[in-house]
Amino acid sequence: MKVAVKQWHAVAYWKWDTGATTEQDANADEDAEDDVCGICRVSFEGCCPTCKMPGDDCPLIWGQCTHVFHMHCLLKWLNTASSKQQCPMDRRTWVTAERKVDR
Amino acid sequence: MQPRPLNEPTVSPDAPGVQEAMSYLHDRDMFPELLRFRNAGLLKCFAWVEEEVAMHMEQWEAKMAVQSISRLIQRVYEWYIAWEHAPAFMKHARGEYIALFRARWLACLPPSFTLGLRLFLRTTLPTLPANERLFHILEQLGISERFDKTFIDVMFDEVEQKILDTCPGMWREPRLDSIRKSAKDLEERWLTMVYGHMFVRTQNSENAMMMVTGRLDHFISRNLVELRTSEIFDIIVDFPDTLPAVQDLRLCMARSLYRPDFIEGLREVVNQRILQPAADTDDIITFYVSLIRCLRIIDPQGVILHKVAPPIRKYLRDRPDAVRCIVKRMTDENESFMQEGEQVVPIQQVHEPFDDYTDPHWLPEPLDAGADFRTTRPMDIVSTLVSIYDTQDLFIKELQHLLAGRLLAVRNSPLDEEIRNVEMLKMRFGEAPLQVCAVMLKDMTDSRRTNTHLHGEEPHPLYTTVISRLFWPTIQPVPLKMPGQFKTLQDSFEADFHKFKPDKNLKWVPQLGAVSLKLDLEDRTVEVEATPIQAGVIELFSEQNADTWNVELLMQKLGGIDRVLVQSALDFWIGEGVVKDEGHTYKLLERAEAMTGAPRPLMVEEAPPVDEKEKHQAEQMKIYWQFIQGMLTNLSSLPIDRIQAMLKFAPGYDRSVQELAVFLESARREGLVIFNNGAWKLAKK
Repeated sequence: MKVAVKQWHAVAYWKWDTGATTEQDANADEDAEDDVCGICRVSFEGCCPTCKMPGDDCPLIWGQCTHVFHMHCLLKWLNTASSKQQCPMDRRTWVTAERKVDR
Repeated sequence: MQPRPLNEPTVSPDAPGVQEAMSYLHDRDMFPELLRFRNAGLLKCFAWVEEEVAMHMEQWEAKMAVQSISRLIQRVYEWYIAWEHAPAFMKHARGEYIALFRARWLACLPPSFTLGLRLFLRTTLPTLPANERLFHILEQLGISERFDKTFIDVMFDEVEQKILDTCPGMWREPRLDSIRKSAKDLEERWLTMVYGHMFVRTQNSENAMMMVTGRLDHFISRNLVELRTSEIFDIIVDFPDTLPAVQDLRLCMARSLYRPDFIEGLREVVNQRILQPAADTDDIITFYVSLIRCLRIIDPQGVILHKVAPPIRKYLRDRPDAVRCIVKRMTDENESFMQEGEQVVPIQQVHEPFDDYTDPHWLPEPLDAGADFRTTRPMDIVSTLVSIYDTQDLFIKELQHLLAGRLLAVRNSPLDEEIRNVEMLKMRFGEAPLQVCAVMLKDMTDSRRTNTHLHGEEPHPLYTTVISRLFWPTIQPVPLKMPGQFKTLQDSFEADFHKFKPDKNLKWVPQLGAVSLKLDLEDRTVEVEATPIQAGVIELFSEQNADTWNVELLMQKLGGIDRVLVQSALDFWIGEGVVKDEGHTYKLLERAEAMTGAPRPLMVEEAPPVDEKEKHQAEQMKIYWQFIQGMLTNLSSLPIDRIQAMLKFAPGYDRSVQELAVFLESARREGLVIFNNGAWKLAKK
């Protein structure tokens, strides 16, 4: 017998490729659940408080310190005087990292 | 001088001897004496009339034939005329004679005469103009005067009959007007016939007529309301078609007199027909909506609705599927809660007292409004339905579920309808609550773009909907791994996707979706629509040298999914005649075989996977288990009310005591807690 797929309507959801956990991700998928933005405490896959649409409209930003935030959240933080241009997590000067496209 | 029986010849008063005798008496002024003598004779002879009356009445009572009454009246009139003739010379004594005769004969009528007369008169109605003589007789005998109430009753009877003849079941045309008209007509003819020659139309008689007319109108209204109340269920169910009947009711109910009965009748119907476990929730809602529309016509101020609706609302609140039904219909194209020309308006707050002092048509609250009645802003149907529940959240959640289910079900058909629906709902519920729905729709359009981008315009076997997980109803994970070519398709799509959106990964929700398959078998091809699990199973069968499988192996190959799922997929293929059950193993049928025995009934279709709210709730309940455990460790044993009260302090806890009880019960079955003397305790490990 030969099975021919005429049309397959599949469903998937997207997840930010935060890099760090990719390897374990495969098996620990559901447990390692929600990584949240350290500023607004909303899941990365959600959106920052000012946005309405998640995903490309509310992207993430990576720091060289490996911390990840919603871009909007971080920019807002950096715009405040008290931030001193530091990462809110480790107080190192914030340097936006180049995304490694390759895993 | 003496009255004689009817069959004896009377002496003509004009006979010569009589004339002489009379003038003799007259000259001697003996008339009073003579009159006394005559009256005495009359009274003595009245026994004959009484006998006659008794005889006819006996006949009437025995046979109930109106002819008896007719004959009776005829006979008595003959007596009356015969005896009246005798003293023709004493013109001034005639009045006395009439009074005497009437008094005597009316006195000997039994009570059953009233009914007889009533029925007899009814029979004269159709030939009314021809009966002038009869009415003359009736008046002469004093019946018209004595039984005037009966005469009016006859008219009422006739009107009632008319209503009963022409109204029941006739809801599609207005009846009230024609009945009023025919009643008016009847009244006119009847009253002129009965009383017409008695009085000339004066202001007085006009007034008397007005009284009767008023009563008659009341009577019509009451009868029609009674009739319609008994039919109210069907009228409401058939509503827009029965509009004329509802309009009639409104006109009749202008007098608040009949409202209590109407309300009572309506409540009873609701209790008997609607608030029953057997009634479909959808039907209840339909009824409720029609009820609102009807009552809005009958009683624009809403007092009746206010009195009838609460039981329905309470009942709907207790029905678990009511929200779903309402939401489904809210978004349904064909069956709208909106009437033509109605505008979509934002959901309004209920219970908000509302008095528009600038309204020139303002009316005070009706008399029968209860103390708790407040004139509320007239609400549209959707607002009314939503206000059954205390919060809108339920609806929003349900809307999300519904939309999710529908979006995942649409293939490549345009989303216009869903988009329009969501826009409409936004107008009702406001932008914010429907944000989630908007994200879902955006996911759909984005997915479409992604697929087109990755595959180009030409058709590709795989179409993937990529969703933003947090904005869709919770999907229970199923550890399904698609085998063979499905895996290949998935992998290539995943790689493409990662190239397209480098910062995102794709996670499959393999159990959702649908597959159109074409199976090329040795002697036939089978084309089917299947679920991914079913597709996975058959894919395994198609692998080389593997036309026989058992359930365990299939489960393992598909990533360790539940046995039930595999079993039901196998049943599906057995039903399609592609696979055969051979005891513990299943074999692929390259060549079609005659179905052995009846095809196995397909397992009940799995509930749509997004519809796993309850499971989800149970999951959440596990969080609270920690709290319960802590409580019971510290306080050893607690009654359920205490547990509930304390859990209320926990963030986000919104379960009812019943739900808690169910949870505790399941915990008891698992041996985690024990129940003793009305209190819960941790089981000793």
